[in-house]
Amino acid sequence: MKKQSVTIKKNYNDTPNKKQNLAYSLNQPEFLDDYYTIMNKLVGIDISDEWKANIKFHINNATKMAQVIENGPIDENTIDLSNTFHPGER
Amino acid sequence: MFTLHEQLTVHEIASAVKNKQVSATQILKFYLDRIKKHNKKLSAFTTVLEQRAFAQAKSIDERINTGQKTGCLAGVPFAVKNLFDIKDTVTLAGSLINQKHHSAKKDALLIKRLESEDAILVGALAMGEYAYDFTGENIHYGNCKNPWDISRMSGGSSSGSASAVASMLVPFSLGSDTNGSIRVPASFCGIFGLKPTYGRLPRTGSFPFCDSLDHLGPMARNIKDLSLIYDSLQGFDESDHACINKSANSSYKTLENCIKDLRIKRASEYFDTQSFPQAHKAVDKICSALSVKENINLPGAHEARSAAYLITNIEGSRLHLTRLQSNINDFDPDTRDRFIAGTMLPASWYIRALQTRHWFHQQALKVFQKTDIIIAPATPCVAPKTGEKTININGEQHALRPNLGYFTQPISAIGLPSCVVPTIDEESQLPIGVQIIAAPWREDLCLRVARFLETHGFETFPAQSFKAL
Repeated sequence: MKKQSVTIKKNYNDTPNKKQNLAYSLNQPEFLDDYYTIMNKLVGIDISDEWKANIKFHINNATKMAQVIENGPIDENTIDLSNTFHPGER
Repeated sequence: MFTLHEQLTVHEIASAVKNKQVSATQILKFYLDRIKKHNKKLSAFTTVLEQRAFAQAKSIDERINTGQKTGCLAGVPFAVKNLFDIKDTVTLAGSLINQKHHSAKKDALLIKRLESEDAILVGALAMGEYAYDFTGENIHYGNCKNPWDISRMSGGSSSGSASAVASMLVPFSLGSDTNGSIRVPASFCGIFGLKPTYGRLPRTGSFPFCDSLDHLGPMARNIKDLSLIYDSLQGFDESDHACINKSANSSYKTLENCIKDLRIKRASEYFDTQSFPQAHKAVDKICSALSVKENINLPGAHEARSAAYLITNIEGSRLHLTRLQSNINDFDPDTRDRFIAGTMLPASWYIRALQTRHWFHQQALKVFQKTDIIIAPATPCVAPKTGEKTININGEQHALRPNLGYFTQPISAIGLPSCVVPTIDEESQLPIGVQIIAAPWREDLCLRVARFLETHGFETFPAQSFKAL
């Protein structure tokens, strides 16, 4: 496992997005870079540096998807959870 | 006079075997010879089960010769995506890592059900690694080829299931579909494929990918066969927690029923095909044959697709976390990097994705109060060349792999039944499929409309170079 030191340089509270959450923060390259560096250290997978760009590309794709659902029509304060999903009447 | 040829239907084979016009052993030998001749070029099969298949054929022949009853699939060869457990065979799920696993102790439940109707399992079929694929490419076992043009993708992840049926190496196959893995390869290879309602067919004895989205289903060269096979597969099984105890949906009996009273509409907005000329023409032709006049919007399809993307990435990555930690260098780089990314995504996105799916499901059920069938494209284009990495959408280049499932993902996100019907793109002379989508549990309607279309020229055509033995 590679050892990496992580320095958090930015003040995340200063993010220019009005909506403060990961789906917006990770859309900014410097935040994505820091997020990747931290997670790389934590997930317990021996990740080669050569894979970094591609993994970040996929995180970025997921971020775009997350933005779509964060912007979706569901009330932000909904208490209508979903873990009882089923496709039709049982 | 019965003649053995590669385009025999399931019905013709079973009937000829039962009437002693041909033996199950002769049928089996014919198809095994085809597999031997063509598989090297296609890489559709990863395992051929000659010994087991001959034992099953012999048993069927003996029962027929002694006047005993046989099932409705007597002597019909079939094969399964290699994520189905096959007794005494390692369940590869398209991976190198699983090669080290023990052989399966018993067959997957759907294999048992088909064999109880006297179908003959002849082998295991290629797939994308751990089913995280729409292309049919696999670094470990070779790329599965499209019989229409072997320089093109078969589609995935049920790549071998589509390629083997399209090249007539077997009359039918089983695949799995999490985001489009039956429908995308069916579209590219020009065959029929059914993704039933989530919870309809038990997944018992199959290697999972994404529990809350995984479906199993059949692929075949004509609708009567697809319907007969689908009916044979149905039945509750409590060992799959997602399987719902519903009464069987006897699709075969109603296949020829009239469709004129069905409210059939063309999916619009998210499913608009203006940017995809090949898909546009395909949907136009199907809608014209069905005299479809009305469009319908499935509100939230874009959000549902995004939700499905996240649910798949996060559930799949969690499933494989220990393998990622211990065998990272044995993954296909194309799946490896996506799985690693999935391990890093926050739980709040997953929960929001589940909420979004729940909401979209409610919107779709409202739509189906006034609609019986929705027509939508299956893929944005015909099969791309193997190795292509990008696709043009609205003049911009996008990553190809995730976007091949652009039209299928919102449908499986909420488990709706969908049957792909083949069309031919005149310009490229390649197949491209269209989805026939119904409300939950109405696979019979999908198949009925598909049957109508089949009788109006939307049928499986033979990929010419694989026609003769």
